[in-house]
Parts: sequence; structure tokens; C-alpha cells
Amino acid sequence: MYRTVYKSKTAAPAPINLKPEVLIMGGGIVGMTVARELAREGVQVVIAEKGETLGGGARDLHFFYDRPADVQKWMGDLISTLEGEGNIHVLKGAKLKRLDGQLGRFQALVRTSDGMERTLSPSAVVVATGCITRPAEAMSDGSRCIGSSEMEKLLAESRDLPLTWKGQPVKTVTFILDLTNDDIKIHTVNAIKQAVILREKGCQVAVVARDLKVSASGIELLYRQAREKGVLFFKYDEPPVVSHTGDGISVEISDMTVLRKEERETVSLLSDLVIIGETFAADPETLELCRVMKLRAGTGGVLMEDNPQFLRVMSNRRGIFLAGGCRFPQVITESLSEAHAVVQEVKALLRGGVYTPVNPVAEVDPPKCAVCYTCVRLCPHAAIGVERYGDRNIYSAPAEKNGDTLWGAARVDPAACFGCGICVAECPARAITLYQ
Amino acid sequence: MSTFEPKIVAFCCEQSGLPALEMAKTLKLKMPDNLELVPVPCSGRIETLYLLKALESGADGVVVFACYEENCQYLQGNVRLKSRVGYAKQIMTKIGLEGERLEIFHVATNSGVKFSEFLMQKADQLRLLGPNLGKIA
Ligand SMILES: Cc1cc2nc3c(=O)[nH]c(=O)nc-3n(C[C@H](O)[C@H](O)[C@H](O)COP(=O)(O)OP(=O)(O)OC[C@H]3O[C@@H](n4cnc5c(N)ncnc54)[C@H](O)[C@@H]3O)c2cc1C
Ligand code: SF4
Ligand code: SF4
Repeated sequence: MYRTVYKSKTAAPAPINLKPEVLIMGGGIVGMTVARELAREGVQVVIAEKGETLGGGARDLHFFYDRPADVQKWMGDLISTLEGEGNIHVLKGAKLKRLDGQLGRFQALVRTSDGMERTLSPSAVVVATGCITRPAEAMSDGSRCIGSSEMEKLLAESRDLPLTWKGQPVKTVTFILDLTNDDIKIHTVNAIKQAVILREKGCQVAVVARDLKVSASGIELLYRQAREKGVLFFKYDEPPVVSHTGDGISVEISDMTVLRKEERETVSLLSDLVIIGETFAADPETLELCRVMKLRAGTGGVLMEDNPQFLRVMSNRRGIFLAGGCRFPQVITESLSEAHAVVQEVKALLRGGVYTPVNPVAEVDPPKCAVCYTCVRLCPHAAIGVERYGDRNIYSAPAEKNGDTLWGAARVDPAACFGCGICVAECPARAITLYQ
Repeated sequence: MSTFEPKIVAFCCEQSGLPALEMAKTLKLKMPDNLELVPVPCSGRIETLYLLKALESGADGVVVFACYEENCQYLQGNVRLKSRVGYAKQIMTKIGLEGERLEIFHVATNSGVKFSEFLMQKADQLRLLGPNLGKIA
């Protein structure tokens, strides 16, 4: 029969003390919510926001699809609770220059717009830098074809008055969805939400989509409400053709209710305004932040891992959490549930005030290390650095440090190591051992 | 030749291969007679040398049970493994060993049946291939 071979040495790494201090990158709705919840638990929070105001992407929103309140009022309330909270410190115009160390010993160098640099030593870091958009291509000609945030603004400005655009009354509006970002449901949510408001103002509204994505909480109900109010929905296969007529804009689609393709007729929707969703794009600054923080960026410049083994808000590094738009463009309700998940994770991490590694950890035998940086490059969790701490080394020359003679060698931080053994297998000098 | 029972060394990732093995055991599925199992925390822990050493010291075939790609608990372990297996195969070709003697098999935790089927197939394949001529033992 078969037998199992297993050998593993044991070691008990020392516990690591954790102070209740957290750094949050990004002062959007997610960053602020995490800050408020953690501050209530007595955690010292620093929010590093690159802009001069808090609020982030939600500043362009005015209506919630699933809450009665006005977004701006709700956010204003949130900002004023933050300001009244002694445990929260907001740095504006902030940029993270460096992040050294590991869980419990992070050293963050933040520069603010006034040229000041300060070093923070948070126990955990939360990344909530949101996502960015750029105008969709179809909007480039500028006339009668606008983005959903501009529509949001028009709606907020007109409130109880009839809708106008550049001084002209707007009677008919067509939304075109899924031209870009076919996999993101924000545009569906936005379109249905705005369509309901437009119907209440007495406008004629049509929504043209490849697929309506109603998988966010409450959207199906909203969709039904929109249909009851008389919003027209059309499905398309081939992208609609948009053309300008004398005093309007026309959207042509082929009628998909007819099954045989040859028999389909073209339906043309003549509107005053066409709304197209903006394109979500990778934020170069977020990618730069990933480099500084040694985080892995997922596909398409967002931070979400495709790996199902990973809990939603976890990053590849222990003590660094991700939430909100930076993971994936998502609606506020979902972003907020991620914010709450992060709060729970951070609370669980900081609860005892110490972190004791529970998994196997790797350890470098300093005399054997050739300082080749192989393990440093390959560790997927950025748990290895090179330091001067060895008392002997067979490969390299010693160096002085504070009067002592110390040799450089790679060092695995037990708090950050996940115990995969990748470094052990790759080390050409066989200097690393995995301890159970 | 009829009595030749190939020896298989199977490295099992603790995240997928090992639970699959447990499942195969619970279901009392068939396993090759001459099998040695080596649990590893992650398939990324397996060195090129381990694979070659196993062949050198008596294995007729080496199998690595790893997680599916993009499914590694440690993000990149199975990707590192893939490149090492590729390298080991290059060396094997150079010294005249058949590439079939070394293979990665991706399993999920619940793939007990696949686990046993694959090993049984491997044993059949190795039986046809004959003993590993590279072993020193
Ligand atoms: C066009 C559009 C329409 C939307 N429509 C809806 C809708 O109808 N309904 C809905 O529920 N949701 C909608 N959303 C989504 C909603 O805006 C987001 O869920 C929410 O704003 C995400 O919040 P956040 O805190 O993750 O990110 P953001 O609000 O984007 O905040 C991120 C903050 O981080 C800062 N930051 C960025 N990079 C750095 C850095 N490197 N260092 C420091 N700070 C940084 C930014 O300045 C910003 O203040 C829409 C989004 C967009 C873009
Ligand atoms: S065992 Fe894995 S996580 Fe730990 S230091 Fe080595 S490569 Fe990094
Ligand atoms: S791979 Fe080995 S020799 Fe190279 S730096 Fe790491 S511990 Fe040192």
C-alpha cells in the first residue's frame, strides 16, 4: 500500500505587538466609512487623501437608487461626523512615498501638498482609492450625447423644475448601455435610477442595452418600477447607430423581438439627449501605489484578485486590506459592505493587541545566504527583505553597523510569511527552511 | 515484466491534493500498490531537485497534485511549479528519460475520484513504459 513521508521542523516565532493605529489610503465613501467605524472602536485612524476634499467619486452622485436620502446630504453628514471624531486625522493632498516594514511594524512616509513629510507607523493599512472613468468615445462629438455623471448633475440642478439642457427643454431621453465595460453593472443601475426620475418629470425614456444587469440588491425591484412607470427597454445585439438629425439625435437598433434576423426591422428612437456610460479605466496612480506598497494588481488595473481562494477584502500582504472601487467598480451598497468587512477584519486583527503566526513560516540561515535577492523577488506576499543582521556569512564581506560587524542576509518576516515554501524551493544557496 | 509494479511518488499540495487524497481514502477508491505520498504546503515548495531526486532514487514516475492555476492559496505557487517541472523535463530529455514520467495534475479539494483515476492511469502508462532506467538503486 502507500505510505506518507513528512518531515518538518518546528519553531515558535515570537508574537508581534499591534498598536491600534490604521492608515487609510483614499477618503472616498469607503475610506470614510472604515475610518468612522474604526474610530468608534478606539482605533487611531489617519486618512491620506490625494485630493483637497473628502468624498471621492460619490461627489458626482446625487441620488441613491436604494435609499431615500440625497447622496450629498448623506455624505455631508458623514464628513461632519469624521471632523468631530478625535481619533481621526485627515491628511489632504497626500501621497504615499514609501511603505516599509511588515504587519505591526509598517513605516509609511506620507508627503502632503504643503511639502511636509511625516512618518506613520500603522499596524494595518486599508486601500480605498476608488476607480477612475474617462469619457466614452461616442461622447466625443459633444452634442446631445452626454455621460451619466452629467445627467446626474442636470437632474440635481433641475430638482422640481422641468429638465433642460443648454437652455433647451428635454422631453425624450435614450440611455445606451454596454458599449463599454460590459461586465460592470454600475451603468445599468444608474440608467434605471435616472430613468425613473426622468419619468417622474414627464420625460419619454428608453433604455437600450445588450444585457440589463440587475444583480445588485434592490435593482430588480427598481427595474419593475421603471417598467410600470413606462420606461421602454430595448435589447440589442449589434451596437446601435447614433446619428444627429436637425434638432435631435437618433438611435437606431434592430428589433430583437422578431426571431429571424432577416425579418428584423430597424427601430429608430428620436431623442433630445442620449446618455452613455463613462468608461472605467485603470488608474495609473493606483498602479503606482501598488508598486510602492508591493501589492499585486489584478487584471485591467483594478486590485481585485481573480483567485477565489482569497477573501474579498484581503490583499497579497498580511495587514493590508482592499475595499471599494479600487477592487472593482461597484455600486455604493456593495462598496459599503466591503467597507464593513474590512472593519471586521481589522478589528479581528487588532483585538488581542498581538499577532502570533499560526501557519508554517520560512526562516533564512544568514551564514548561507548569498544575498542574491531571488527569494525577495519571488515571495508573492512580499515577506522578505535584505537586512544587515547576520553574524557571519560565507559568501559576502561584512559591513559595519552601529559599531558592530554585521553581515547582510535575506530575512523573512514571520508576521508576513504565509508559509507557502516558494522561497525555500527557489533559494540557490538552500539557505531557507520552512518551520511548522 | 508481468510482475513489474511501477513506483509512483506523488507530491500533494496541502490545499488541494491532500484533501483529494483524504476523499479518495474515505471513498475507499483504488490506488496503485506502489505509491509514496509527499505532502507539501504548496506545490511551489517543490524544488526541481526533488523531482529529479525522486526519479534517481527509485521512482518510475513522479506526479504532482497541485491546485488549478489562478487558484493557488499563495497566489503563484503552482505557476512557479510549472516552470520548474518544465526545467526538470528538459533535463530528463537530455539524459534520455521519458517526459511522461513527470507530470502535474491539477485537482480541487473534492476531486477524490479524479485523484485515484489519474494515479491508476499513470500506473498503467508506466507499466507499459517499463522501469525507469535512470534510477540508481
Ligand atoms: C460614473 C459613475 C457612476 C456611478 N453611479 C453609481 C450609482 O448610480 N449608484 C451607486 O450605488 N454607485 C455608483 N457609482 C459607484 C460609486 O461612486 C462608488 O461605489 C463609490 O464612490 C466608491 O467609493 P470609494 O471610496 O471606493 O472610491 P472613491 O469614491 O472613488 O474614492 C477614492 C478616493 O481615494 C482618493 N485616492 C485615489 N488614489 C489615491 C492615492 N493614490 N492616494 C491617496 N488617495 C487616493 C481619491 O481622491 C478619492 O477621494 C458610480 C461610479 C461612477 C464612477
Ligand atoms: S514561505 Fe512563501 S510567504 Fe513565506 S517568505 Fe517564503 S515565499 Fe514568502
Ligand atoms: S534566495 Fe537564498 S541566497 Fe538568495 S537572497 Fe534569498 S536566502 Fe539569500
